[in-house]
Amino acid sequence: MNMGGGEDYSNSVTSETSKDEKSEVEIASKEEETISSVSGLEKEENPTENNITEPQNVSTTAETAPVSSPSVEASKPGDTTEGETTANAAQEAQITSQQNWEYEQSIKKEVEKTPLVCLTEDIQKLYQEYEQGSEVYRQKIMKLAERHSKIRRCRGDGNCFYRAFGFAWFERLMDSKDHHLRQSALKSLADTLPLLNKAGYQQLVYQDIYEEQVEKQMKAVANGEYDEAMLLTIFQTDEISNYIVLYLRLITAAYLKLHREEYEPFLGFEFGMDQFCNSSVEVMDQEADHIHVIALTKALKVPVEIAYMSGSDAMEQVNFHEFYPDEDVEKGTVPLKPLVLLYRPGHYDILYRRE
Amino acid sequence: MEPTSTHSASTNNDNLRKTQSNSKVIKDSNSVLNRLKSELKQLMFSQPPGISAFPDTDNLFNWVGSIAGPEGTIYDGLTYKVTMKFPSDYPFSAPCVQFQTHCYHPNVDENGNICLDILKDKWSAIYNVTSILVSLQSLLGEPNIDSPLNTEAAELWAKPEVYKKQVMKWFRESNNKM
Repeated sequence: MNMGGGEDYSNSVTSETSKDEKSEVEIASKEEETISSVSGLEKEENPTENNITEPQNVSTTAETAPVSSPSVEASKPGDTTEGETTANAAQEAQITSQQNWEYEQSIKKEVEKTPLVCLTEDIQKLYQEYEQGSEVYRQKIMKLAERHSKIRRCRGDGNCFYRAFGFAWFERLMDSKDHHLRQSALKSLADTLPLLNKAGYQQLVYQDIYEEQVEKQMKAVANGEYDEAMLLTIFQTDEISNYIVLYLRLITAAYLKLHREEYEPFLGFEFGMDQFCNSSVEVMDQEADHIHVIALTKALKVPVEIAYMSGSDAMEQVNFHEFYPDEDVEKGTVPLKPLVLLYRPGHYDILYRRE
Repeated sequence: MEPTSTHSASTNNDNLRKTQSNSKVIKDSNSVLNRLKSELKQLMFSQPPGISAFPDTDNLFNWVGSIAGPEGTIYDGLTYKVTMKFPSDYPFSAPCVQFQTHCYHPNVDENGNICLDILKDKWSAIYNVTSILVSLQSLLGEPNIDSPLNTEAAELWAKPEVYKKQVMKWFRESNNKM
């Protein structure tokens, strides 16, 4: 694939950042109660930090994060103290769900300026985001860069885990050219149909999505019909991309429902599994947490490693969490190399290991 | 570390985005239509009691439905007409559902707009025509008094006799107009 110089792209990101900041001020002035939390965060914000992660952090409320979530605890990378976080949470709790919904809609429009899945960028670009910001983050990125060469950003619309997972999975299969690997991926995908049925979902909800979108795309990948540009087009096309996200959400929910004894204890007292899936898994734009990652990787038998970067941990160290579906992967009998994602509070992107 | 092969970015990316917008329009309506056809088929095979729905005209994006008040509630014996308008990105967005028969109810305003979480922020693609109508049917008998669109109805809910009079008054007036 012919990849040219990237100056234009970085310029466009910068200009979008300033636009975002401007309109976020406008939004804030309409929503009086949120002004202090938004603008307060803005001031502490590293001015060059990528705008993709911001709206997510701001919109994270207690309501949308029933599972104890690292994104609440560290709603701003690095500089936010615990006291401020608590104050912000209290303010956000006062906003009625209607206001909250309208506010999230207005932020959504800003977020939509980023493609659903972007082209890869050198890991150095990630470092540059924090050049005038958190030292902790810079140290961590330096560490990350030792083993990782590139990052592929995903839109911060709350679907980023599913979209990043989907793209990374399809791309891994595309690149491997291993017939056996591709066939077993198709088999894993086909196995999700009885899973969804058993979990009580109506066929009309998932059957067409499976046949017309997800399976169709994976078959095209398995048949070697796609290159990187084509895969990117697929994942940048709202409808196809969102159907893939939706299907992954349904699989995640179905797995959780069918293993509720195991996972319900993690939800907290007020949530049953059905209610949790209803509000935090099946609904588009709802962020994913540990529990979602575990469920999806197990349901599809796809190993994932996630680099967790938050400002609170020790410097010069990036924590990797391994989500391996079963022991077979650890024994190395499943040949699929783990997908690698980067997590920053409230957001997932894709990472590329150095060969 | 210098950025090297990473971005054909703006040129390449812009091109990608242009080509996709064309195909999107065509594909959009196809899969939405397929989904709506499946829903229609499902309704024809198994219709929950007291509920019906059918496309209004030849346009599969506009439906009319009816909901019978649940037995043993104030709305028992009354049947309400609703319209459902499906957006082009259905089922990613909820349909716009409105009462056509005037429904005196804490969560319905005078224009028939409905305040129901699954039609707003709690919407997800697992909901469909049937489940929406079933939810509306149970909303009739179990209003959410705490966030009313019709405050008068919310206040009167505790006095069933007065409440019932209002319900009947609006129901009759509305049916006479139709």
